[in-house]
Amino acid sequence: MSANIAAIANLKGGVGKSTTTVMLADGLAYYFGLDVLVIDLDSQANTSQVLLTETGLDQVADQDKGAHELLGQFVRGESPLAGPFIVPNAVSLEELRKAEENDDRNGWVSILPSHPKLRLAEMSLEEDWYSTTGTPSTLTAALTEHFRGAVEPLLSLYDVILIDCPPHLSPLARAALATADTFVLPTLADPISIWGSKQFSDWVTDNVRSDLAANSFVVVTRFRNTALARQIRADIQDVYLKDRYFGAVIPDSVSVLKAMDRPSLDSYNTFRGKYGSVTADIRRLAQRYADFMQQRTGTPWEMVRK
Amino acid sequence: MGNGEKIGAAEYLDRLFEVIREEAHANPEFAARLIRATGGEVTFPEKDKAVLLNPLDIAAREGAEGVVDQYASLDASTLRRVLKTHNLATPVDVRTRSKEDLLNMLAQRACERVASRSSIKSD
Repeated sequence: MSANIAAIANLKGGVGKSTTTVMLADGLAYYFGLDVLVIDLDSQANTSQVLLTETGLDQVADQDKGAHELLGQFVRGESPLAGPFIVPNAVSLEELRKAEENDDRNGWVSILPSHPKLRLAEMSLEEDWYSTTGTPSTLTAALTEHFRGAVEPLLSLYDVILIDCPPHLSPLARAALATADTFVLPTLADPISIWGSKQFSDWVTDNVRSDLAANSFVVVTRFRNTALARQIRADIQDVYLKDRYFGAVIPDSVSVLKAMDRPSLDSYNTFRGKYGSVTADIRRLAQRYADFMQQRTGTPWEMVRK
Repeated sequence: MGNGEKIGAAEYLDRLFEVIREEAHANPEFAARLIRATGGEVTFPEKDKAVLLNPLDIAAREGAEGVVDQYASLDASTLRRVLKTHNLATPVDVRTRSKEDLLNMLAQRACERVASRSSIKSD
């Protein structure tokens, strides 16, 4: 099948975009045996850090892999090609590694990693572009074309492509949004985050994708089970974003924190060992995303692990 | 005092430090926190090392050799616990590993983590 491209995005920082990206990548690879490519376009590089560790992140940057190299390719006017910048092995789950060793691959995670130097490259590009006759809109359009060209050959290689977007609307971020088929919107059950989600949704609907609502998958993250949080969550689901598809609620948990700290690049854990008390939540997240995709495409995704 | 009793400063401090001393004897983790807070350098009994030593702290101060020196006397089972407690390894990483492998893993990963996360520059 041709890969579904999902942008994990919200204008507000700290709402769990990177956490959601990693959990969704692991959940879809593990439970549905899907090959997942994560594209990290947030120069904070948290998703890359979680999947590859800090040491691994520096290693792959030294090997000229990463989203900043894709941007460099655009600057040099070269044809779009993302393959050489992808790290094909970002699997941290023992079950998936064993399946690969037994030549029975059931789900795989690869990453086009980010690095803080991505933001520097983007700023340099913006300065050059705007110093001539370029505008943010023309840069966004040119980057979108480059991105689509770079991603196109990957569509037959992966089942799902998750783009972790930065918490702003730079030309690079807008190009990522314009490349996506669906949108995963992580949010917190608090008043500040609701407003941030509204700002993001309204702006993207007006300027990038008028069909945002129909293609949105909302995930409430870091949920603390208090009366106030339950009320706010109900308001989000029943009032403010009621035209969206809702994924699982991810609890505020030590298990999530631990799962986001890979001990070393050659460290592996079982799915249950990695996610501990939130294992069932990740399963629900993956299951709900599969249901969301089935609703859109009519094609069911079969679970390969229970 | 609570009942209006007046005592001298020395007596007051004696009572305070006695309570702290008793608690430190009964609770080695509390003793270790006190020592860390005051920057003291002490040795710990073998039986308490796994709980009281922080491999990241040792790696930052003494490097990989220091980690190996401090933990060399511990058995494989205890080393596994230390690695997992400090999230330097998963249960999958440490199973079927020899004591020597575990010791090297502890030293290498502790140094790696300090190098990648610490902002403290050495002289």
